[in-house]
Formats: sequence, structure tokens, C-alpha cells
Amino acid sequence: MPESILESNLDRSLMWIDPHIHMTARTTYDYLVMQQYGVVAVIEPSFWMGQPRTSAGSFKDYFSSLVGWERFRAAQFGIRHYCTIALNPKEANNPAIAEEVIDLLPLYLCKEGVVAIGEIGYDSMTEAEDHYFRIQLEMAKSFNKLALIHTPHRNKKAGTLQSLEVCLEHGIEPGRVIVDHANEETVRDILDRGFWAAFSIYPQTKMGNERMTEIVRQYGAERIIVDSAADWGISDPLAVPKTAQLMLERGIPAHQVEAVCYGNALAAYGQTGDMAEEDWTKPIPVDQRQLFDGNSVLRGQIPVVPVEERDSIVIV
Amino acid sequence: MSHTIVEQHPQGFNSQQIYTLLAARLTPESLQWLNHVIQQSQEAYSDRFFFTAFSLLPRQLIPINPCSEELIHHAPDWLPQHWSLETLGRLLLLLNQTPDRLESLFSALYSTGSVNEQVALLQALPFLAESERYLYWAQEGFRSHITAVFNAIALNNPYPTRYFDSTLWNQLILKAIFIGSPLQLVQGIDDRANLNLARMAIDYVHERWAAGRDVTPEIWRLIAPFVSMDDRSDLARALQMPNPLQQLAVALICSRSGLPEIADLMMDYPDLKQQIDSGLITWEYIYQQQFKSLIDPLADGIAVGIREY
Repeated sequence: MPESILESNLDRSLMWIDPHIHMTARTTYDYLVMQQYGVVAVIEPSFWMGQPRTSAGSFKDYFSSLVGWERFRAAQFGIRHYCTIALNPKEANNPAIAEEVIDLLPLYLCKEGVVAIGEIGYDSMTEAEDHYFRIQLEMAKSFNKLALIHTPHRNKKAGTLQSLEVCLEHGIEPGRVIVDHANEETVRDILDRGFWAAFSIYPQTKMGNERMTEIVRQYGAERIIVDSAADWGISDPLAVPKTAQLMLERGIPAHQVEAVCYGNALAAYGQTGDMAEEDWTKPIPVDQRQLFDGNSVLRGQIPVVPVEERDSIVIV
Repeated sequence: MSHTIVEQHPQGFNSQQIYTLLAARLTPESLQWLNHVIQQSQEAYSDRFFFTAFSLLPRQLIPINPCSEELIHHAPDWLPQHWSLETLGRLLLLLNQTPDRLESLFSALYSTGSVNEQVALLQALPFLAESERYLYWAQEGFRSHITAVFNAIALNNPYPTRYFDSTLWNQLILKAIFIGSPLQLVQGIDDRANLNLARMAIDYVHERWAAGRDVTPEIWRLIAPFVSMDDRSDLARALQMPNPLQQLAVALICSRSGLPEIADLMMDYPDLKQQIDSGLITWEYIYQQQFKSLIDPLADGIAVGIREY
């Protein structure tokens, strides 16, 4: 088995979706490489930024960049960018700003490219987290949005089970909920109750892709989604194509690999019409100069940074 | 449609005309949605309702014929030829608000806007009552690094030439050059020519040449009206560079110059001189040649919308 994805014979014509990646924390170089390895679409869930925010205005600018600048940045590389919007569980514990952030959400939830309310759920399982989790589940219903659930890193099993119960209690259809950061201990409960189970391939702390391969071997591909959750930490924006490659080499049937690394994310997040395969199969101009007469007059496919220049030590 | 405020706008049209244009091209369900939104946003007004409608609009306005060229062909003169159905729809929503409410709505919508929403807001600017109120947002638009947003205010839009002072205007044009947007499509590009801008343009040419980089041939259009003997060596150098369009642009300047020392530069380039003498070389021709790979001949110069994201 090749040790490096660069040496592997992964078919570059295959398409992958990374349905959980914090591109705000990544460089344009990552976009370039992801595009080369077949990532056609990404979903960027809103979360905290490592450093706690001290005003609701920081959330507003963050949400605006998710529906604006980051979408543009991705489009330059031919990658379609979607996002989810929410007050995240960690910062739900900041009473000084939580309420104001909740008031901001209606401004963003209906915008193009916003595919869900998320990440919501529990971090430390506090009362405040529970309060805002429930408020946002009700918003998911009233705005016809899916819900993306962040399951806690500490006390994961209990936190996951409680998250599922709360969703059901609020009458949310499990098929409209993606439960993320699942692992061997939580996958059974998530799937048995009819929810989507997403797995974050994140070195050392979350899921490894050898373990992921065995999960798919055991549970099959139905309602299972692979993502990278890559952010500002030691994480990997190629986690989805690498996992696909590993699964193929370890005998997971191609149709199952396609499902967990592409098709299921599309089926889950496509339910409300906010994300569709034509968004990336109908070629969009990869051209910074796009759009001076409207899209029908533009046919350019010029990458922002030509590949050969990227690999050269000479920078022009 | 009884709910539409019919009032005359600065461009000599009224929102009833936009409504009529849209109504003829929408499915019955879409039209019903639009009527509902307009009615609600006047009678039972709430910010949340308006923001939601403004965002949802592209998914709610379904044309009867997915290709809306027909709409464009029937548009009266005041309607920019490159507008999308959704921009038209968003303009209609804006026009149904009172000027004071619109001003506060505009700032909330722009500061939280998606790319396509910001594009629609900037394209709507010249049509809003008391549109000089929105100068700040027009500036925000041209400061954007998102090409579509920048182009929405800079290209095919009469707002900058009407309301930008020369400092703002010059910055707008320099940025258009910087990000590769065609100057031909900037309204007022020749009328607003000024010596300051010409000097900044030639400085930019020097900077690019020092870095071993090209400039857009259109940049010479800014320099043309103010050419002096100081520019002679730069013109001579540009004529020698292997960029046929730049050669044409500079030849255009030389052949029209009243300065014999500059007109004489053409003596070494009989082929160029012949082309210029044919009378076919204009700034518009240079623009068309430069951007021809991006202009679809089938579209016959008419586009149906700005939707990139």
C-alpha cells in the first residue's frame, strides 16, 4: 500500500465532499490541493474560533464572511462552499452575548448556501447549552432547516444520547439531523434511531481513517458520512480523499466509499434544496476576472495559481 | 397590482413597470409569493419578514421559461441589460419601502449580505430615491475584494460617475485595473478622465514594468488625453513590447497626438499605422479583443444575470 496519497493511484476524476471543514482557518493553498484531489464541495459549520468572542458583532462578521468572502475564496478554486449557522455550544455559555447572537440567526438562516443550523448541541452539558440547543432546534423547524449536532468531546456517549433524545423530544425528524463527531461507542445509537452519523477524521483526538474503514465494513454505508473537521489545529484538509483511498485499498466496495465520502452528504444536506449536485457539475468559471457581463458570457477556466508555478521555487 | 407603490423614481420609471415585467415571466406560484411579500412588507411590516424574503427570493422566483433573455429584450431603456431576474425582484422589494425605512434596511442587508445580495443592492443603488444617501455603501462595494461585488458597483452602473468625487473615482478606476475588470464597462470612463488619474496610471505602468509584469492595454485609455513629451519614452517602450493589443492602444495615442515628436513614433511601425488609418481601432475594439475569450458570441452581448455563488 502506498504510504503517501501523492504516490497513490487514487482516481483524480472522482468527486468528494468534505461536509465539515473550517476553511476560515485554512489557507488558499489548502483549497488548491483539495480541488486537485477531487473535493468539489465543502460545508463550513459555524463554530468557535479557538479564542472566545467577546461581542455579538464578532459573530455577525463571522457569519457574514461564511456567506460572503469564504464562498468567494472557495469559488476561485472551483470548490463550492456551503455553511451552517448557529450559536455554538461552547459560546452558548457566555450570557453576555448569547441572546444577541440568537437574534442574529434569522438574518442568515435563509441565505443561499446556508444548509443547516449548526453546530448546536452540548459541550460541557450545562443548563445554558441545553437552553440554546432547544431554542435552535425550534428555529430549525420554523425555518425549514436541517440540524447539525456537535457531540461533546468529554462525556461523549452520554452527551450524544441526550442530544438524540432532545431532538426527538422537539419533534425533529431524525432524517433531518446530522450527528457529528461520532465514534465506535455512539454510532449504533445514532443509526438505530434514524439519524445521520458523521465521523470527523481528525488526527489523535477524533476518528482515525483505519478505524473509519472498519466502521463502514461493520455497519455498511447507509446514513454514514465522513468529514475532516479540519480547523486551526493539527488536522488534515485531505482527510476525505485519503479516507476514500484507504477504504478502496482495504476492500470496501466502491459504491460504499462513494456513499460515505460524497453521496450521503449530498443526500443529507440536499434535502431542503439548499445544495444540489448541479451546483458543481454545471461548471462555474474558475476565474478571478469572472462576471462583468453576467455568468452566461463567461467561459474561463483559469486557475488562480497554475499548478506548475506552485511547485516551482521561483515565485513570479 | 394594487399593493405596489406607484411613484416616479430618479431613472424615470416606476416600480409598477418592474412588477409588470416580472409578473409576465413568473410561474403563478412565484407571482403569488411575490404578491404576498409585497403586501406583507407594507401592511404588517417586520424586519425579520423582510430579511427572510430578501434572502429566499432567488429560490422563490421561478421563471416560466428558465432562460430570461426575453425579459431582457423587452426591458425598457432604463433597465440594465445584464440584470438577473433575482436582482430585478430584489429591486422591486426595495422600491416598495419608504426612503427612511429603506435606508436602515439597506445598511442591515448590506452588512450581513451574501455575495448575490450585495451584488443586487449595489446594482439597485441608482434606482433608489435619494440615492446619494448610499454613498458609504457604494464605497464599501468598491472596497470589496469579491470580484462580483466590486463589479456590481464599478461596471455598467451610473452611480460612481454621478456621486463619486475625483479621489474616490480615481481609486475606483485604479482598483478596476488592479483586479482586471474592463474599463470599457465603467460608465463615464472618458468623461471623468483627469490628469491625476493619468499620472497614477503611468506610475502603475512603471511599477508593473519594474516587476517584469504586463499592464492591461486599456490603461493607456486613461493616459491618452494627457499625453506629454514626458511620456514619449514610455510610449516608445510599449510599442516595442510583444503585446499586440498594447501596441494598438499606444498607436492610437500616438496617431492622435498633436505633438510631432510623439506622432513620429509611428514611423517605425507602418503596419500599426495602416491599422490605425483604417479607422477600425477604437478603445472599444481593444476591450473586445482583450476580453473576447470571456465574452460569449452566442449571447450577442446580452447576458441574463449575475449569479456566481
